Formats: sequence, C-alpha cells, structure tokens
Amino acid sequence: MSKTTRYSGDEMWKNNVEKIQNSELFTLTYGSVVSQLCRDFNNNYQEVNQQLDRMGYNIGMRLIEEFLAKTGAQRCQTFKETAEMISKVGFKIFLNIQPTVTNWTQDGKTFSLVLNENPLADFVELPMGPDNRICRDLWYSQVLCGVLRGALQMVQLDVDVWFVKDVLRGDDQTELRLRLNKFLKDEVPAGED
Amino acid sequence: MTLHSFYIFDRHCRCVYSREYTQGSDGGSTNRSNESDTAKLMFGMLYSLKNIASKLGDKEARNNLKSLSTGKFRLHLFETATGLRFVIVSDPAIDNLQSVLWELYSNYYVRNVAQNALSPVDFACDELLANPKFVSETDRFLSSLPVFR
Amino acid sequence: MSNDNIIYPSVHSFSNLSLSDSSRTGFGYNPYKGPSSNAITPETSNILINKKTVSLTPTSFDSIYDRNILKKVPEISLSSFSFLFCEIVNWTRNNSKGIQDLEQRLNTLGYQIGQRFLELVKTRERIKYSKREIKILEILQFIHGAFWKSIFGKTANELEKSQDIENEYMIIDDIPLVSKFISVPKDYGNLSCSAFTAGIIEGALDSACFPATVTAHSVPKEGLPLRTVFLIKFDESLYTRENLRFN
Repeated sequence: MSKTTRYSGDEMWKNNVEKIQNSELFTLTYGSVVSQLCRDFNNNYQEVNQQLDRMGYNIGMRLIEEFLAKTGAQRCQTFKETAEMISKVGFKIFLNIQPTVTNWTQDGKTFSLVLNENPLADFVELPMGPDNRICRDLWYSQVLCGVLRGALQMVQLDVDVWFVKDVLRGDDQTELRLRLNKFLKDEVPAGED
Repeated sequence: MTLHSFYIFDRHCRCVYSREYTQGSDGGSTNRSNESDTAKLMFGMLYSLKNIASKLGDKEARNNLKSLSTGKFRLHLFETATGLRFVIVSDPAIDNLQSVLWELYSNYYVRNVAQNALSPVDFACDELLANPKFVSETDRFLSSLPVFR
Repeated sequence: MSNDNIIYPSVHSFSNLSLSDSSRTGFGYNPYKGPSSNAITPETSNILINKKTVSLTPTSFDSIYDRNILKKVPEISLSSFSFLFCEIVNWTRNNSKGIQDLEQRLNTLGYQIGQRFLELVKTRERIKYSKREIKILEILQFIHGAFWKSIFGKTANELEKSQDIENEYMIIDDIPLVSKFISVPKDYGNLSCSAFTAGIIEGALDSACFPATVTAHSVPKEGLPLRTVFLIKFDESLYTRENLRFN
C-alpha cells in the first residue's frame, strides 16, 4: 500500500522512537502484574482476563494519541488499510515486532494477527496445577486485546478482539482475531441534528 | 498580543480547555470560559463548517477546515483522528498556525496528558484539562513564538 | 498430583527466617544456618527422591529452556513501558486506600521483579562478578553500578551513607526512568511512583540475604526536578553479622 510505505515502521523504529535498553524490565513488570492479579482474584482466571482487557483498553486510549503524533497518520479509509497500519507500523513502533495479517473472511470484516514473537511473554511458562485450569482459562497477553480495542475505538471503529491460540497454552502459534462491528459516527453537539 | 486564545474540544463535543491571553499583568485566564456561549457557538460553527466542507469537496479527498477569518480575528483549527479539536484565535495578520497546532498536539498534549498516568484522557461530564504542567509548557511555547508579541 | 508431592520454596523471602526456623517439609535453605540446612543426607535425599517440583507446561519443540539468556537483550520502546506503568499506577490507585497503601503496593510489584533481576544480572555478569557479595558496601556498589546499568541503561548517580543514622544508605538517581512521565497532582501530596523502583531494590537486596526496607523520596534540586533518593534501611541483625564476620 502506498500509504504504509510512507510511514515505514522500520524507519520510525530506528530514528524516531525513544527506546529503553532492557525489554526484560517490561516483560517482568507485566509478569508481576499478571501474577498480582491472579492473587487478587484468587485464581479466577476469567476475572483476570477481564481485568487485563480493561487495563488494555485504558492503555489503548492513550496509545492511539502517541501513535498519531508519531506517524501523522489520518483515519484509514478501509478496514484492510487499518489492518496493514496495525501490523506494519503499530506493533513495530511499540513492541518492535511485526505480526502477519491472515485469514480474512469473505466480507473483509474479520482478520487474524499471528505474532511470531511476544515480548510480553518472553521466558514465561504457565504452571500446571492439579486441574489444568490455568491453561484452559488464562490468556496471558489479554492486555493486547484491550489495547487494540481501545485504540480503535478512539478512531471510531468498534471492534471485537480475542485470542484464538497462544503458545503459552501449548498451541503452535499465537493468534489474535479482530472483527469490525461497525463504524461509529462522530458525536454531534447538543442542539444539532 | 497577537494570539488571543486557545481552546481544546474533545470528541464528545465539550470544551475541555480554554486559555485566554490578555495584555494585563494577570497573563490571562485559564479554563474560565469553557461553558460560555463563545465556546459553544465556536464549536457549533466549526462543526457545521466541517460538514459543509465534506459535502463541497469530492468524496475521496479529505477536506479539512484549516482557518477561518473575519476583519478582526482569524481562527485556526486542527482536528486529530481521535476527534480532538485544537483551536487558536489570533489576529488576521497571522497566516498559518498549522505547524504550531501540530506541535501543541504531538508534543505537549501527548506528553503531558496522554502519557500521564494521573491525568484523565476521556474527560467525564464536568472534568476539565487543568494539568499545571500542560498549562505552563503550552504558555511557554506559545509565548516564545515570534508571532506572539 | 496432591499438594504434598510438590516442594514449594520454603519462604517468600529470606529475611523472614531466623536461626531457630526449620522448614516444614524438612528441606530448604536457611541462610542463618548455612549450608547445613540444605545438606544432602540420607534423610533429606529420601525426601527429595519421593517428591517432585512444580511442573510446568509440557515442553514443546521450542521450550523456553532452549533459549539463550546470555545473548543481547532486545530493546523495546520507552512509551510501551510508560503506558503499561501508567495503567499499573491507575489500577493500583483504584485498589488502594491511600498514598501509603499505593506506595506499598507498587513496592510489592517491584519486589518480585527485583528478585528475578538479581539472578539475571548475576548470570550475565558472570566473569566480573563470580563471587557473591557479602559486605554491605559491596552489594550497594553492585546495585548502584552493574544492576542499575543493566535495568535502566545507566548507573545510578550517587551512593551515600547517612551521617546521623547508623543503618541508612542512600542511592540517588537524577532522572529515574519511571517518574519521567508522571506529574503528580497536588492532592496526592508527596507520592513517589519510584516506590516501584524502591521495590526492585528491596527485592534484590532481600534475595542477596541483605534484608532491608527501601523507600523512595523525591528531593528536587535546581535543574533536576525529578531527582529521587532511595533510602535503604538495613536490619539491625545485619550489622551484628558484619561485625562478627569482618572485625
């Protein structure tokens, strides 16, 4: 796409992004949060997922402003363009990874993002308890779903994001799925129609 | 002063920040005219103009309102993809403040509001942007501009 | 697999142990007793053979144990960390009842990180730091230097000993990473989000068998509005130990 070549993710990563030396601080901080949540909710992993999603949503609302400020991008015209922006530029400038976009449905409203590496879950293994609940219920990187949902909401796209597969659970790859529900209309000031 | 005031409207059509620059020693007021008719009328006008602009141009190209002038003042507008609108009211002599508005957004707003843990991003019904660091930094930036005399 | 068959770590932190403690399971290191608390004798080897440790997810073709932790650490953008930290502060603030509670929770989050980072940094610096630090000054110099550099990319700015009070030391950081993007509103008083970093230091010190409490205080100087002082208060028992060993 000609627009994404203008905002080349790689170039931006090299020149424009302030980096910290140690991504492990980031990984360990996230791990600390997940384990604290598990303790707070008494190992009710559904609740933990929801809380991570909520936190991600709040992060996403702020992240989008920084994304727009760094790339100067305008609103995308189609959902396909959005997918390209997210995978080529978004993930690159924030997490330094480049997921692949696959599995488009016929109507062009749902696609999958396959992450080949996940800095949130570097060196993480889920412990096996007596009933394997953690493997069944916990999506470790659920915060990413919230981030995408929050960020896209701020640019008037109502999407659902959920995990399909996760390497931590023993699957072969980590896969997220995004579905566009609708375009949100801009709000009208009181008194206008 | 050739810059008169600076407003920010959020995506819920509310004025979350208003800053007036006056010549007196008090340096102008902050956030005192958010609910005023001026702010509401200004927003309504900009909204209607945006609708007209999108109908006048052809469908594909984006047609953004950049400035609006009368005999006594000029309004400069910048809208982000997230629905934030930055407005500066100045003398008609000043031509183009788009880069200033962009700087205000990408540098000062993002750093002091979006990246600040203890400052809200989605303002509730009666919340205003009153972050002292944001106010002082934007004041300093705007007063250091050559057009601000 | 019942809980009896799993050996958990004996305590959350070494600082909770004392000379008279002995482990429930009959097996576990107590730094106050020394290697004899953990020795392999006929009784303890029986215990070990019959129990298992916590088992993790079945290792697939690409398990985390096959990865090399000694290679260069990848970088990540500062804003991702800052956004995550912002949200952590918000979430902690909603869950806590006051400034002290908030700082305590941030401290706890940092504590777990400090424990892990100590191991990691030591493993990576293996040639230079092949011996464990046993003196207070040595461990403080390690934290001030290699540890800080590994985590934040720069060494801390100063290391001082308090003049008036016996057990207190201070590490000073002019531009702490975590406070760079938080400006505290007036109703939060003297909240310092560096309580998180203080937790990291505390975790590292505790795991190195130097029990301490660490708090963070914001002490701005001209030109350095974010300057933070980490006050490290060691336990009394540590001084007795130093005196016994080295005097």
